[in-house]
Amino acid sequence: MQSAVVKPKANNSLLVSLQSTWGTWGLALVILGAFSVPFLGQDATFIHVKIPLLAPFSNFSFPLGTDDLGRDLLSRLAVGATISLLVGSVVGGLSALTGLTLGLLGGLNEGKSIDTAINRLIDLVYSLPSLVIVVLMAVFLEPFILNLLPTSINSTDWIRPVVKVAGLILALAFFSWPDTAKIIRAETLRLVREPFVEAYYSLGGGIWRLITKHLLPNLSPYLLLSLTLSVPRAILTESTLSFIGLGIEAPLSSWGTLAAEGWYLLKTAPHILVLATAGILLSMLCFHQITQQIDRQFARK
Amino acid sequence: MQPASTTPTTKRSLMANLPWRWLLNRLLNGGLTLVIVLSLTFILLRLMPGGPFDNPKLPESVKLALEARYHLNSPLWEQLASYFQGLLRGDLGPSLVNEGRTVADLLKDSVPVSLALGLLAGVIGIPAGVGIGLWLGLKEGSKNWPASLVEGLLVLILASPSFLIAGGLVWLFAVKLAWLPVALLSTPAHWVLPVATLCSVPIVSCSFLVKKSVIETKHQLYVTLKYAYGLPNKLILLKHLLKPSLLPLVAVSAPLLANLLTGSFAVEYLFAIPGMGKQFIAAIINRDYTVVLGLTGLYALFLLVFNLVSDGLLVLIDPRLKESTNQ
Repeated sequence: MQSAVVKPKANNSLLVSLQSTWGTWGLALVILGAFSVPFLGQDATFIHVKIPLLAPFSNFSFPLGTDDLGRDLLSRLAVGATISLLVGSVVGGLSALTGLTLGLLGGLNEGKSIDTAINRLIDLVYSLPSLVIVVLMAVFLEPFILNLLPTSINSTDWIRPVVKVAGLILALAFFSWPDTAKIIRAETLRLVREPFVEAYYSLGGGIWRLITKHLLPNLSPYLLLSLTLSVPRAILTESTLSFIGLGIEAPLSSWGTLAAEGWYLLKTAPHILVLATAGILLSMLCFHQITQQIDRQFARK
Repeated sequence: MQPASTTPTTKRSLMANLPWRWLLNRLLNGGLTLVIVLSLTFILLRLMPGGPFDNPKLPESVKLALEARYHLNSPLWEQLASYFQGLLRGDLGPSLVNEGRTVADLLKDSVPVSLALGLLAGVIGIPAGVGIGLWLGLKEGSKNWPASLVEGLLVLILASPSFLIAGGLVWLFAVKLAWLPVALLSTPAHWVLPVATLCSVPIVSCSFLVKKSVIETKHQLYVTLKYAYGLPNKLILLKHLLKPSLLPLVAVSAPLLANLLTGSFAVEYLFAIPGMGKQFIAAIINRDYTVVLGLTGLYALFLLVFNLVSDGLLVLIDPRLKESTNQ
């Protein structure tokens, strides 16, 4: 049987074209920064009491200086990259998984009650005031998850910040999957009307193989596109929430918490706000560039 | 429904064409959504640890008496039922933390501020975005450096979180140049920076949308034909280049406006504006259940109303959309 990928070159050329944008390489730089935390030789949470607000480039051990408490700014920035990327990628992954499953389920059962139910759910999520509910959920989920865990884990002191991040991720993912589900459903509806699907069914093919061998390869660019939209949005929302003080809490720090610190020190040490936002800005611009590249690739088809 | 007389009465046919069934359906759905939002919020709030009267200085007996006074110790479903009963009478309940004030009272303080801020940003931002988008769309393809500069700036704004835009504006206009004040809203000058920060969102999204639409339209044969007819440029711009972008513009401005009103958390926090966002955060921290419920309901109501109005406009513009916007 002929390969059912409608445009066989599409995925391949998409990946090739992504390699040639600076967005991909900029993002790679951010990821590298996130993984560099253990190699920087400084503890991001250690307070050097004697050297608060060290200027950048003035001390070799603290290349970017220190914050108002005397913590190394470079390693705090790197920890921020880890948290932001972690939140972004897990939210993106969760929403891609949920969106793909429900989108396929809806698209393959068009007009049936399960499709209607999924559509109703999507409409409900869209009609909720997202930021308000995210704030509520982020506050609520932390003690909720803590209650579910056994007390042996519960009492360790690293668990609270981890659970806080997990709660934030779940709250963000809850509002992120409908976009993916909508894109995947629409694409599935288009694909199942293609002649190759009819041919596949007439040859007696099963549904599972249709999904894995024929639909998924055709859906993958759309999944990638939805990822490049959901991941930066999650990072942006997380940083805004952390900035207000409702997101990531000490001892963890994200770019948002760092920016909040920089905001208070705007007059004395403006470079803290500049550095923290540079991280956010760089990753947002890279994601924007990648999205545009994928859009252009779609337009060319 | 056919008009009885044969004379064409536009007003009558408009009334007949209005999608009444669609409207009724949407209103019922909206009401249901509101009930779901309020019930979910109510349950979420009660499952949260801590309460409005958690104060170590407060004797246990006083706390119990306070809880009894606000019926916080009766079964959850009873409280929910009585809340909805109050709501049907238009009563949002008393604030638990602010002694002697009702939720409606508190909302009267904060809602107009946020509403004015958001609407002002929308009224300035959306037309500005349309104008910029039109200009960028016309300049697309020709090597025009101001256009490229503006476009780069727009991408930069798109990539920035609102606190960065606010930070940049404050640093430039309040710290360096000292032209404008930063916090609170006492004089008109105080409004400039918050509104400018909020404006950035509609400017960016509208300009990209209009630009895309204009680029798609400007090489269409019918537009070239209009130029060949010798129609005045302005007429072509407004009537033929901008018109196709009307549909996506209406579709996008409802969530945009709703976001401006509801998504101004960061801006209100930064500029110390006593609006809904600030009140909401304070109410969550204080576990002021009724205030959180009132604000959440209001946020949901705003979103529903804006979506309804924009979908209604879309259906009036293009009746084929009735199917797709009927949830």
